[in-house]
Order: sequence, then C-alpha cells, then structure tokens
Amino acid sequence: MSEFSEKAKTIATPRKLGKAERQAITDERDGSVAAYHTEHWDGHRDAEVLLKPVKAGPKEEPT
Amino acid sequence: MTMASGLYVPIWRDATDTSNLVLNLLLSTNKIDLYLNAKTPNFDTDAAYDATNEVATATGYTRDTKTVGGTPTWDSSANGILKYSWSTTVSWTTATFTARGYILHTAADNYPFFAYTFGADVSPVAGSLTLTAHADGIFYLDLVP
Repeated sequence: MSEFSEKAKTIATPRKLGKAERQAITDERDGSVAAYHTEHWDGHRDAEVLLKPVKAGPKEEPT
Repeated sequence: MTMASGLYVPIWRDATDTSNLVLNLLLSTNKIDLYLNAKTPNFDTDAAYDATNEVATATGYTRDTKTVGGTPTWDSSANGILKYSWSTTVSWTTATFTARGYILHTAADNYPFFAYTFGADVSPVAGSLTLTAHADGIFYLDLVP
C-alpha cells in the first residue's frame, strides 16, 4: 500500500461513500414527526414533509 | 405569532355568497408558496397573496411560481366529509432554504384559501424538499358532525 493510501485511511470522513442518514424532525406542537431530513454522504440534505390532514369543522360535537 | 394552519374565512365566504368569487380547488395551476415561521396568517382578514415572510427567491426557490400540479381532488365518499387532496407530491429540487409552512392560493386573482404549518423548520441543502399528502387529504370539511 502506498504512503498516500496509508495517510488517506486516517482522514476523518463524516459519512461513508454512498451512505445517507435519516433524521426525524419533531413537530413542536405535539412531539410527533413533522418531517425527515436525509443527510447524504456528499453533504446534500433532502427534506420530506409528511403532511397531516387539517380538519375544518365544528370545534365541539353538537348536542 | 407564527405560521399556522387553517382556511381563509373571507375567501370561503365570498365563494358562497353574492360575491361570486371563483374558488376552483381542482385546478392544478393553483399556487403553493413556502413561508418562514415569521408568517402569521390572519384567517379572518387576509384575502390576497402576500410575499411578506415568504421564502426568498434563492437556490431552488422562486417566489410565487410553484403550482400544486397533478390532479387535485375533492372526495365526498366518506360520511359527511369533503376531502381535498393532491394526486402527486409537490417538490422543489436543488433547494437550499428554510421553510416552515405553505399557503395555497388561486393563480387567478391570488385568493389564498389554505395555510399549513409543518410544525418545525425544514431545511434542504442542495437537495429536495418534498411534500407528501396524507391519505386523509390536505384538509377536510366535516360538514355533518
């Protein structure tokens, strides 16, 4: 193995080539999952929002 | 105040009174704009698109240009429920920005009809932001409680 290869092995890399890490983003209102961030090995980050249905209707049940 | 979810009262009122405001939610050309948490929708008074606190035009985002696309639907098959939804995801690519929610408005006349908060900031970096509708729709009207 070359000297360069030996040194290259000691360089800290945040992520392995081709790997990605998915992180849940917490909804500040109720602690549920609001979205996901996916951190990719090359530094780019995707965001995915799982929309929750919004109810429009009576605030209370009719009597 | 912060970003919030809800329907815009003046728009829905005027769509159903003598104002004859045209509110066609089935149009794929309806606009979807992203906003910062500093945006505070006033659901009782807001009646037009407003760029204040909209995500700035920058990498992967251009103000007031994105449409919902696909084939938006109204589903009335459930008991007393009228459900609005999208047939496809809405996404921005090569995006680097922070957003807290979105507002939908008509392309004609810029009538806002729905706002949504993500409940947290989302921040793509040179990546994509994808919004996926829930099986129960974007929003639903509980007309027969």
